[in-house]
Amino acid sequence: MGRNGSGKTSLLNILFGSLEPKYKSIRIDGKFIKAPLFQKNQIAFLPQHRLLTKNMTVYRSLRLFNVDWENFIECFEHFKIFKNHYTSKLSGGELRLLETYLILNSKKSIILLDEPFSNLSPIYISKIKNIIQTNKTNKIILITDHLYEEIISLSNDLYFLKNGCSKLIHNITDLENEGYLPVNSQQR
Amino acid sequence: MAPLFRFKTYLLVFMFYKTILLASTLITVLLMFFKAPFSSIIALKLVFIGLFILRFSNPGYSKDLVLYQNFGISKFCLLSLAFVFDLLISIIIYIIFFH
Repeated sequence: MGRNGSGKTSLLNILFGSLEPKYKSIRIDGKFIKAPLFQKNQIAFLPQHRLLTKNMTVYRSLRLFNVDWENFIECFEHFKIFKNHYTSKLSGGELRLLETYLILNSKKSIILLDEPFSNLSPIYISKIKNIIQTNKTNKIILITDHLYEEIISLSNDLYFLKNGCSKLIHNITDLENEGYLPVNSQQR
Repeated sequence: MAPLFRFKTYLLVFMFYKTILLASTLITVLLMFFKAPFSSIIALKLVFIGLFILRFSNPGYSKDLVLYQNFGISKFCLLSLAFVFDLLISIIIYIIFFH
């Protein structure tokens, strides 16, 4: 977590390998990784902006990520009618939901999610949270988002980015102390 | 090297380059019809790829590459394969119709 402009998105981009910083040191299990992490094909990244191209159908996007259509429809039934629709025809929230589902269900061991809950209605946030809960047992999932209550309930470890440094957060009071939340936000 | 051994890489490269591929092939056929040297056809394709390199050097556009990076495909790999695709199609057309 962190305030706007604190570098959350840049950090995810650097981890993924789409942004080259002046200095970096990425290690997995103590092993230094020099090449961009995406080239290992073990990492999936949901950026803040649009991921899928506009001229791709919903069904084709699922096939591309090796995600089962039936499982998807079981979870998000209203997408049934969009099977052969181009992603450009989906609303911002629907597209975000589809992209988040694809990234979470891709066969990668590390998942980076940059504000996955933005534009999503509460019911879909709840469903995505359930998928994250299921997946986090066998994947590394890094999330940034401003819905702090959702993030606190989901995360095993929570860090706050400020002035280029990260700080371990234990509870909402810590977020208040860091100036991220207004004081007494817990009482509202 | 690993992306080269995955079928999906070629599918994604085709998806990425298909609109340019059509324009490039049409111009190539025209150039061949007027008996232009093959080096000028290669130069044309290099110009197309050069334009993409320029486009993606802008951070505003480089974000479009995240989809391909999610499949382990770097910018260099994507543009190189697009160039090879384009060139191969031109060579095939040349051999079949103009040789």
